[in-house]
Amino acid sequence: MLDFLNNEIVAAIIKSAIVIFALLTAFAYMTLIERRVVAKMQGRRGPNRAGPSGVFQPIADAVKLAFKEQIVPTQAKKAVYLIAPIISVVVALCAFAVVPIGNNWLDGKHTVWDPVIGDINVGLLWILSISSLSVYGIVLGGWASGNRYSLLGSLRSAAQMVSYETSLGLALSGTLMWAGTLSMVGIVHAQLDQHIWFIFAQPLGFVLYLIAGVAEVNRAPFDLPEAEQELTAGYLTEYSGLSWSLYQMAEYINMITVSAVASTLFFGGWSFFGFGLERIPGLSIIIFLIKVACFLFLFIWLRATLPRIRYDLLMRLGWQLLLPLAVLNVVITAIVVALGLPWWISGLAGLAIVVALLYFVRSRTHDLQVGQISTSTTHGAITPTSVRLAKFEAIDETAVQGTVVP
Amino acid sequence: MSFDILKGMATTFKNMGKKPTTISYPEEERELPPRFRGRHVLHRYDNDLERCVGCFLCAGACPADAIYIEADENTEENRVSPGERYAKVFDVNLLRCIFCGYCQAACPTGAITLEHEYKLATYYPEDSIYHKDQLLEPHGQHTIGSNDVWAEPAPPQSAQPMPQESGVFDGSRASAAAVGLGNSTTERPMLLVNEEQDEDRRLLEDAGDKKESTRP
Repeated sequence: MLDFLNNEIVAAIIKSAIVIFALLTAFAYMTLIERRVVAKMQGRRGPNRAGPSGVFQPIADAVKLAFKEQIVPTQAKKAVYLIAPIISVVVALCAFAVVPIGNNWLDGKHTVWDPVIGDINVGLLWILSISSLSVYGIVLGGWASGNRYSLLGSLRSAAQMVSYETSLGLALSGTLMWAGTLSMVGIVHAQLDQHIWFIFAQPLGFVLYLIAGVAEVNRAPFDLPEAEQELTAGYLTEYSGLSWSLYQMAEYINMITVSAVASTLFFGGWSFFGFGLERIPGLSIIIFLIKVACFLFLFIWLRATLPRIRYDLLMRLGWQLLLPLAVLNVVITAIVVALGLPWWISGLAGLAIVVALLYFVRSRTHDLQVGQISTSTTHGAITPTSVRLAKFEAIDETAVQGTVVP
Repeated sequence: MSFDILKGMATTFKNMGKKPTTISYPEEERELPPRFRGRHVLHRYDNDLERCVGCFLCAGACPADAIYIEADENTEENRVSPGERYAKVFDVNLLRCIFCGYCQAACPTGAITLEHEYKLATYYPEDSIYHKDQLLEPHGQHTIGSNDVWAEPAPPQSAQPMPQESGVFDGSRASAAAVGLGNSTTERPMLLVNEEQDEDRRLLEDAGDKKESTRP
């Protein structure tokens, strides 16, 4: 009687509903977990009063936001103003459609109820394209607010996201070359077949992906567009109540997606070194969730530790540091893959570049005097390298008439 | 990326293992330092008389204008404080009060001190104006309160030189409590003596000569 449920489309719809529900709950409890973890790192407790250990805090927040007055500014373009956060959330949720959450239930045999919503053979490309669409939600939201500072904030955010997307794509293409396929399920199986996790073959790619991923999600230390101290919360300024929480939802779900992609591409997804643990149905899902949770903890840890990066330094980092390194990574990986060399050669090369980078940055910062910003300044003056001093000629004192300086 | 970032992240990670500074109020409460400035208390003497003599010094010292006093005369039947007057109405508006302790410093008799009561939230602003009956210590309970903590004279075992009983005012024993105890004369004697106007001073001098031997 329930045979119609085994239809692929119906199964996909039901799986999507389950995943969306799970993601929304995960977002709600991520807010609580973030507040508790950041508080613990700062030497205080987080919210622990609403329910045992604060478990009902997200519900309290949701109820408060729902009852909050939704003020639409008079100069806002109302239709776009209301649709922009919805675009952000829909796009963020769509990216999760191709992520393999666990192994096939019958281990090798494909059924419609496998924990992947849609295993298309261009899965990675889908994720990259959909994340590019998330820029729309932010730019439209900032413009539709009718507030020039919101517009500035949203444009800054758009520029930041676009700059880091190139490095993101190039960092991922190293893994792509090793996997040989764009399909996310295929990438997990490639890691199983080659008996390594791709982080060992692509350490530089992983570091670049992590930095670019944090910048993509507008997360600390790259969260200038939504900072409260600058631009008065940027594109979020005019949003209150439920539409604001939709933007937050989009940000956290993007964070979860970036973590999921990182754990799939670099840490083997739901596999655990091929020990055979994956054959136990359901355990692969738990392994995957543990990996995603580790990445989310890393995001929270970064937020609690690092100060915000200034906007021009942020853009400089994206274009002048990450992009050349990403291209270098692609070149090295291409050489290694094309010549059929084993994986540890590209691993060692990547590791050497990462270590060289650490020492290079360290030596540059250690040569500085207090107050200097970079080593290439003249006379120890405090000027950034982007400023070039003009040459002055000495004023001929005898030629100046009328002014006497004792 | 640099080693500084990694060192910073190690620091925050280590912080997770340390005990947080926050305490779980109301299950735990902090031990207050002895000079903690909480709600005011009006004190009494040992013989149950009130210390407050209605001198208005605390109301004058208050930077927030939070104290309102109405004084009244002590009569033979109704002797409330040792002195000419007592405070009939003594209101402290805790919403204006900034808990600076200036009133405690200004009081010559040690009547008003700030004690350790800090649970002062109310539902209505009227309830935050504390009247004399709420501030005064009950009968039979006479404490000096937090004046003990910082207005106490040096203990006898200390090696501090004690000022001699010279009867000359040289500022070595200036304290709020010493004001008004005075029967110390100034170095320069009065050059002009006006019979009618100096009656009070002559009365004090007579009383002071008798009290000289009992000064602390």
